[in-house]
Amino acid sequence: MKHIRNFGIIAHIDHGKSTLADRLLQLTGVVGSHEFRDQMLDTMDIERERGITIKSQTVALPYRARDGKQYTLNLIDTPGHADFSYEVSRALVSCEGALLVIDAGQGIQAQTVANFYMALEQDLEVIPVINKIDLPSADVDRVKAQIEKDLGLDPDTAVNISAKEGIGIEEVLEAVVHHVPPPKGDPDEPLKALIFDSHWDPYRGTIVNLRVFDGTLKPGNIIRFWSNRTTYRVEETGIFLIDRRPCPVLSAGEVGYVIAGIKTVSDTRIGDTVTLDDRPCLQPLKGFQLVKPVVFSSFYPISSDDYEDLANALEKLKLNDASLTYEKDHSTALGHGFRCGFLGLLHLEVVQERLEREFDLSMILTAPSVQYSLRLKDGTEIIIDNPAKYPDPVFIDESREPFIRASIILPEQYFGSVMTLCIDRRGVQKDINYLDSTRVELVFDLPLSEVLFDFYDKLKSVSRGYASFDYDFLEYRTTDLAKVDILVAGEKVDALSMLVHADRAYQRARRACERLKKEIPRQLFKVPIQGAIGGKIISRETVSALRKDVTAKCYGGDITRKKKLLEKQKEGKKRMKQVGGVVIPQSAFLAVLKSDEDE
Amino acid sequence: MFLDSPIFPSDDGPAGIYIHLPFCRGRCTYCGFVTTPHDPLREEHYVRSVVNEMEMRSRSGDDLRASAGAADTVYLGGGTPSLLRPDLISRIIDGCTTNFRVLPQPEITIEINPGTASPAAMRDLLRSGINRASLGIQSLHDRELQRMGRPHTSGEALAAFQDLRDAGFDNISVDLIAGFPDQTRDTVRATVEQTLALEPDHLSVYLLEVKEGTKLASQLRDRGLTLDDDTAADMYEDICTLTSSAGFVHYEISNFARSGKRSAHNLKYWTDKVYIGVGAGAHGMTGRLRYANLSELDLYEKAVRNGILPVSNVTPMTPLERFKDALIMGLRLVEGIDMQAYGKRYGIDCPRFVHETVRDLEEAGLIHRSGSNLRLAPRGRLLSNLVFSRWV
Repeated sequence: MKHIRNFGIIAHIDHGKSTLADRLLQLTGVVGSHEFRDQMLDTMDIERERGITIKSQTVALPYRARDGKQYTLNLIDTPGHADFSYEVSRALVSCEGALLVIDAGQGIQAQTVANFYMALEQDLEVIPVINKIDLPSADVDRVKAQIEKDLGLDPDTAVNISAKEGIGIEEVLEAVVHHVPPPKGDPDEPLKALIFDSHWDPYRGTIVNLRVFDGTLKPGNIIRFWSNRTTYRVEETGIFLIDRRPCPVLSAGEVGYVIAGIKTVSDTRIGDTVTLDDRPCLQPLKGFQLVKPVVFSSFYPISSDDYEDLANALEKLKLNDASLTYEKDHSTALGHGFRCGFLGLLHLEVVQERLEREFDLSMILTAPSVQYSLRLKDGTEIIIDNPAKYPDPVFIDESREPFIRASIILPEQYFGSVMTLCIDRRGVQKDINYLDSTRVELVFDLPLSEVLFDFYDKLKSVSRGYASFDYDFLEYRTTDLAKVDILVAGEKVDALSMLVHADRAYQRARRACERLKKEIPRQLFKVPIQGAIGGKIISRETVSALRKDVTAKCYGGDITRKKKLLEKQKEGKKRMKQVGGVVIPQSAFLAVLKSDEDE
Repeated sequence: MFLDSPIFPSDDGPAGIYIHLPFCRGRCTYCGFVTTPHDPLREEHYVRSVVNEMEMRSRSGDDLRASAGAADTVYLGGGTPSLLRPDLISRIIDGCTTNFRVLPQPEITIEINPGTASPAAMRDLLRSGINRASLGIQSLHDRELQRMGRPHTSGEALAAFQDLRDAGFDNISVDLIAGFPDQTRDTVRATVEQTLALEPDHLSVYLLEVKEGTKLASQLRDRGLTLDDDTAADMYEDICTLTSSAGFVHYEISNFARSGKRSAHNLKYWTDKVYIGVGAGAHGMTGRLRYANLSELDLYEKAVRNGILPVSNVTPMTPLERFKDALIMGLRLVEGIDMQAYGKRYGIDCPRFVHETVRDLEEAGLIHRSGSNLRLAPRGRLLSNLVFSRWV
């Protein structure tokens, strides 16, 4: 155990987390230069393209330190988005230390501080790493001063590096060896291990990533998951070196994986405690939460023939994504589909993108919704996440919507614009804390529905990226709900309905109509688009009738070109959905989802 | 399937010959055709290639099998054919008569751009057998002409028309453009009125389409403009009204003619006749297949020099495909088609085919059936792609 270090890397976006990870892999010889590519640990296309990490990855770096001893440094890479903050916290619990990467030019940013606090919460030893020292804009002294002042850390512990140029990487490894404490724990105690992630492997079933705190784990053991008390026989234990490497035993302090014939990742819950069935530990590890989806949207295949394919694709994604939920759904306008639940909008987009890319599906998504709690006149309570299931308002006694408590840390100069944003999103201010002379923490209670839709992006934009945002679910609060229906050519399109706060209803209806007008191509007849609450029309736009769709001439008898154009038109129609007599493109459904501001 | 067993028509009648002459003084912003800068020496070489291609095509026989070797129209399109020396034009026409069985009194058309042919050259053209001129006026507003990248003024266009008449052309067609971004309903109306005052025999209106890769396409992108279909539709309707009161017959979606002056060559395309395309980028339909020639001039000439047919694409057709193409082209004619006749030609139950493919569009008022006649309703002319897309 003396020769093990478990650590994570945390950073503000673009401060060089993935590049540093890449260098550590190279220097320790885990990957040779010929198999190397950028963002080594981000294996999904979406991660690489967006420069974000969605799934955690773990890798055991073998390192012979300058003291001549051989160490195993377990690097636990973590997701970098608020949608996945619970996963991040569980991954950090598995570590004893963290590298806090700071850009030498930009210095400490809001997210740096937020990450730092998260690491402190888990009692991690934090090593500041000043990156990009090769840049002309680098100002190491200034950053060191910030480290002392803003984080209260000893600036002399900071390591100066350029991950891009490969400068100082060995010092980083030395710092991990010397400053991150070795794991504690007793191999003779009953097994106590933390699940911090899981992956699906089509041949082996669920691969569970865990950190062993006490005891040992080896093939043949019968393990038990604390939360659902299910038991499995361990088939294989091992560590990660990019690929899985089996080993005979995982002991207290170690990080590795276990394969135990677990059918789906849903059976493993991040944060859950694994122990032995015949010799269980007395208490589980702290901090376990059941991750529940908070945002719901219906997915319909554009071609109803693709329904089975969509079902299969969701089943496959679900194998590897415990937080995705789905159930059958039906829309009058769009036919059969699925109501899906997500951790947030980014999670939704990732799932949508994977369905489109990896499974080649074209879908229509309905406006995302949170779960509302309704008390009906007859006293029953129901939970609604689908506008289609919203009861007639005359039967509703009280509607309640989820609120969160948000903590936003920001430099003082953005105070006004962030306040305005929060108030605009129906936020209720709870507290203002001056962290120091320049930074403020705003505590706001906000409706979850207002936060889900691009709040984070908006916040970043009004604060130029400086504001950090963290939130916890708070409670359900009484609200004034309205269901906005959209009628196209006089017919209600259920998939376009949305549940909104009554104060927003008019605005949202008007926007939806305006957007649809832009997106719905002109048809043979005039198409009115109306927004309505109950039976009352509150907004209206009209798509005027198509007048011209003609090929002027067929010069020199070139009918081929003309036919190609016609075929292209026909192809385009395949991405559209016939609703009533009107052809609505996929983009129209997406346009309605967009928030008011992004035009 | 109700399509019994479709057959090719047994008789296709005389063919039309299209010859592409790609030389131009400049490139119009909207032009997506094969063109190349005017160059007398290259033109001479090119004409040799064109005549050689005709020889190859006549020997191979494929092109003309369906038409029993006969042709009765020749169309010199471009490009700007009128840039070629009259003796070169004469060689092309001789090439036609030498290699194909050109029937008596053929219609021979040449496209002429204002400012490219002298009165003397025009008389030479007539002497070489050409009997129809298609004059590219496009607009009579100088600013619009500039925007279009046309290398002439409205004055030159009017003069060219007069020169043609004076030279003795008694069959002159005028090409106009409508729907160009800088045009307004008023300027188009004025252009049409002025044009009609010239008393042409035929009028073609090109409803502008922006083709990818053209200068216009990038200009529009830069200016953040899209074409205004409503205005274009208004212009089109104005043109229909103006031409009709001037005594023209609207006989095809974008073509208007005085009595007896319909374009015999273009009617080949619309009435399911075969046509031979000769020259770089030319297209042909032999009755059994469609082909497109190599569009790059050097490649085209190289192929011909090596005795290879200079085609880049040959698409064999099934009888059903040709039948559908024939419907698409035939419905462009205002008078429409005779379903019984088409059905008989192809061994297809045409009325039933129409019923099953476009019945809803009949209900929507885009097409009109009466007895065996099928035609676009007036509203359907501007929306004809909606009908035709059912048949691709």
